[in-house]
Amino acid sequence: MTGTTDYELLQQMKTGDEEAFVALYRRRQASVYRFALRMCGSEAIAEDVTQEVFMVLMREAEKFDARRAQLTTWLMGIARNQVLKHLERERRWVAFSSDNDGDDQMDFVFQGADPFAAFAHKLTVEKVRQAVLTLPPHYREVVVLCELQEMSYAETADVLGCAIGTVRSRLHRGKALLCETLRAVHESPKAEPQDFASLRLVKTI
Amino acid sequence: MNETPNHQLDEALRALAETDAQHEAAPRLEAALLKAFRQQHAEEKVLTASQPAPDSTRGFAWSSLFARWSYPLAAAALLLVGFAWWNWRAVEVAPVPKQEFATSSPTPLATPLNELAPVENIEPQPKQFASFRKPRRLTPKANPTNKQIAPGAASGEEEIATEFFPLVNENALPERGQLRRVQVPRSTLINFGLPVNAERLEFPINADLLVGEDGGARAIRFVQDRFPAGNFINNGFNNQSGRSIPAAYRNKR
Repeated sequence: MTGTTDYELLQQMKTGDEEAFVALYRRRQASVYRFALRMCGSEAIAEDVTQEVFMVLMREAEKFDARRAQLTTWLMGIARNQVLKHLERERRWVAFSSDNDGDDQMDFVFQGADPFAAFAHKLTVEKVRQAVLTLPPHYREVVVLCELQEMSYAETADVLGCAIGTVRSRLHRGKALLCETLRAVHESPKAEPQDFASLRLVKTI
Repeated sequence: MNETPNHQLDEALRALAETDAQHEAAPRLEAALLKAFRQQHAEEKVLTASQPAPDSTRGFAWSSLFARWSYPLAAAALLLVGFAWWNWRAVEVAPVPKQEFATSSPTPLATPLNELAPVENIEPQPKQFASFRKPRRLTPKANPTNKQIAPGAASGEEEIATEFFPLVNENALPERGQLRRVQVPRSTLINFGLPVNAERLEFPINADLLVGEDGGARAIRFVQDRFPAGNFINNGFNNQSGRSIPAAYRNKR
């Protein structure tokens, strides 16, 4: 199945070929899951979205038109709709300075010669992750697709159903908002102790 | 914004992407989806097996077309039948009211009834009728006037006539009787409040007498002559004369 295209797998899947479905799922589930995880910040929601996307693929495979879009962008479009539904339903915006209890602490495994550098790197990554989650959804989805999913502007425009120019402007504005957020976090005297308090050193190699 | 923060942001985003590169859905999700996939295709196989195979020899899928349009066509046919039945019932079955004659203010008869005896009995029309039922009108009446269409005496043509004017009390109106075509003096029109063309006063006018089983006249209507219409415009067969037949005497259709 390695040399088979997505479209061929889809055609085989329509005939009831389980192997084709499994191959297609394994090929595309990670990008769908990561997109949902980066958009929502919740693994449970990301799994729900992934499951729903592939359920739609099973039920409505006939709706896919290979002349209009690639299967990847079609799946990401479905994932985007599901994510927006979740965001609208739950209205759960992840605050940058959220109150973390003990169960929500992050576990880090520091490897390498300089554990402090690794710690700083992880800290920076988490700051960026939280900053992305604070963006408004229409900026967040562009940043996630273009910068984290590494999709082209054209593919992103296909997923979002808008013009490439819109993608460019939203990405520019989204990154500017990210810079402002990260700068505010960096300059805030309470931010760093609060973030450090949420970290727990579990293992040092 | 200068380039340094942008560069740092790009590096940070790249680091975030690399960190998340290992994230993927749990294996149990794949198992659940595979189970759903098997279930779905098992149901599809059952549905396919229960349906007859399409006739591949035909170029057109008549069965699928029929399955798609059968319900709308059936609904449309049902509506059509219902509308036709309703229309037929409204015309045929709906009770036609008796001709109502006013009893409160009957038109005073200046001429005795015996003067209405036929001057010339043109053609007796022993038409049996029941309870003043008017002939069924197949086309809607455009403008209700005091005219009505009388069946032609000999040629079968339709004639223009007034309503029936009662000659007796309404309670004495017969349930059965005969319609007789007679000619009466034109001045009789005056007795019923109808205008008379003075230029044609010497000519008699056709009338239909409603005769009961006992031979007595019960009601009368006047029929327009088959002459050029100009002479009869003012003869009470329409309302252009300015006078009209009392509303109580008009036919209720």
